[in-house]
Amino acid sequence: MGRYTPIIFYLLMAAALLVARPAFAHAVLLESVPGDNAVLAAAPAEVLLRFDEPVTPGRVEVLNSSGESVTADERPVSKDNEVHLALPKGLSQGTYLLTYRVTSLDSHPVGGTIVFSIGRPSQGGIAALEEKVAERGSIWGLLATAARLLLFISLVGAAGGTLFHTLVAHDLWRLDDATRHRLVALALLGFVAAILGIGIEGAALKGTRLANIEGLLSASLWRMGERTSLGFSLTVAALALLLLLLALERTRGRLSLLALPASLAALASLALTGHAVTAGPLWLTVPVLAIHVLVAAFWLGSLWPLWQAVGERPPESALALLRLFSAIALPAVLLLVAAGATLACLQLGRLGELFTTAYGLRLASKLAFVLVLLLFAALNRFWLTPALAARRGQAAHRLRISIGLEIVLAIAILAATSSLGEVPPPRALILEAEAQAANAQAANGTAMGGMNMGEAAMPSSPGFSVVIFAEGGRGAEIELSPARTGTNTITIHLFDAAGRPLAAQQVTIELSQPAAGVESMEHKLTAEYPGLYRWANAPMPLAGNWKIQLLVLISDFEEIRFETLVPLR
Amino acid sequence: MLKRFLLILFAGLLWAAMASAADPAIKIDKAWARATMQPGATGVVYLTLSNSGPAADRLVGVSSPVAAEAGLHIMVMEGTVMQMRPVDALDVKPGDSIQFKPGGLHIMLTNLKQALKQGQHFPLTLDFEKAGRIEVEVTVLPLGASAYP
Repeated sequence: MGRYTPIIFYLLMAAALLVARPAFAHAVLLESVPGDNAVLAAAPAEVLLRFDEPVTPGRVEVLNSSGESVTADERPVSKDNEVHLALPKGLSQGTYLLTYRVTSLDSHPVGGTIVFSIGRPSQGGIAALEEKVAERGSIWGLLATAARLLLFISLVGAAGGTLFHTLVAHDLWRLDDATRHRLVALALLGFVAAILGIGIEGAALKGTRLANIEGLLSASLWRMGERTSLGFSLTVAALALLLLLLALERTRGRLSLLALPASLAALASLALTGHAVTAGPLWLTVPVLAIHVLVAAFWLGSLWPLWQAVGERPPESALALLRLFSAIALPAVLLLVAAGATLACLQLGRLGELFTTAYGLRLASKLAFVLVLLLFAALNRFWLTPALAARRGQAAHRLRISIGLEIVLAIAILAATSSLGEVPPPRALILEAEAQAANAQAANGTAMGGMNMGEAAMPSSPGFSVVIFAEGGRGAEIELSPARTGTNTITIHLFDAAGRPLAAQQVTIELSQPAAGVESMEHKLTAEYPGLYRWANAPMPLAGNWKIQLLVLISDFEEIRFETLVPLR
Repeated sequence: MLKRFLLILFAGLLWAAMASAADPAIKIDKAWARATMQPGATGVVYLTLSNSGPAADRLVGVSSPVAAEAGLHIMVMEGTVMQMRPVDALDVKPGDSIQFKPGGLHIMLTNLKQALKQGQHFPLTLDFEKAGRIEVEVTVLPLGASAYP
């Protein structure tokens, strides 16, 4: 059997590559009709959402200002990159909230709201309504993370454990009942978590409320979850774990031959979906992710059997097992770290994002756990295992505690990994900001000819602009576009007390967000025209108030400083 | 210890509240608008804004019952072209005295409900982040006026 293992591995990898559906980047809403904040003269017959890639529509509904759905009887229809939803006739005047949730092929649900009014806007109420809608989504995000964690634990424990017993211990066919039952229980846990995950994905997409038991049990919800790329991956995982469970139940029968391929298939299922797959070219991401998952599961899955062996077996037997493991583990861990680093680089775009975005911070905490785990691994290999070989007293006891701590760290790493799925990676944020900026520009271009009622006498500002003054009546107009998280264009007009453009020798801009601990980024600007400065791609990945400081060098003897706060959504 | 801290905090808050009530930090004067020919046209308001308080504030909105919409704008040079740009906020730092004047900062009144006639007065509300809403009376000056007399 052992001889064929590599062949089976490569076959499965090839199969994973073949089934991987064409994946695209994070879906981005490019346009909506009606547009955000539009005031329409008459009720439209339908609403339209256009994305940059084909999407699976989940919940798309229109709420009136008291929060009731006016499209309960309508179903969203998707055609290519567009999602259409018919509106009922006779909608009354007032403000409406169009909320949508769709999934792109990277399995990440993308949601948002568009506010539009018919006739005239209603007074108030919309802000609270938007909050309520956002809340509904976050519960499912939390449950999805929990389900993912359970699935990861199961994959590491059952599939990773099977790898260990096959490749290192060579005892899968003569496992004691307790171990076999533990593996079976872990596989069962993963099977249940994967099935629940499909339902949670469907519920998140449809925006079903947690209390709506009937809605949660409806077949359409589960079909919805299954149709997404995450659902597909979870289905593969569930089937593979079921197979593994049956194989482990009958380790002496012919079915047992399936334990290893089932484990590999269950692990490979993770490479079929997720942010990591869509981060770069498929030929790179799918194999790299598969290697990462496989080696990680093998390494972490070995911890429990090793812990058991050190505690229960005589020292010679435990030592032999540790040495066998060690011989594979060292190159495996190097491979694992290399694969993980490749994926992280693809996701982040640049190192700075590790500390400035929610995704980066979660990834950083995962890396911190991994570092500690590597320290423990080194401790075990270079100190505790030799101590056991030298038959020093307490050596087995210490080694056991150390491996036990490694298991705790492994669970922490899995928890950090499962929480990564709920936040968009920085590369997606940047894409989104760019699309919205382009969209805002296009909208400004067409606003004049459109049916917006508030006649656009003035080009409306596409972001946020503020005027500040410094000594001597000199001022600056600072404009931020689109004033949303991601990349912004900062335009600065400097003028003197008489309103004439202010020519400066040098202008330096400093960006920071003290409240979130984002230290200042410095950037030197060159004048496009006298008094006009622009920074076309200022990285501003967090929402909240950003501090902008301008250091303007007028002459060798005079420098003026402007300082202001700009809010980012 | 905690009690004393709370007492000091309370006294401080009380003092701050009294100080702000006694002497408004934000002052607006010399508010004027140019007369217009007919309703529906666009009006423009200039004024002087000063902050004598210890804290910075921010003007975030303007409104007036005489116009459907009011907004803050600034004229800036972009190359050789004078451009009017809408402004969302104006920072008013302690000690600042900011003049709204032709060719610079101004308040646009769009879709006037009535023509602005010379000698007339109308209310204008300025919305500040900290000082809240402040209402001022705007004097309408003749068509060719370019500064408050």
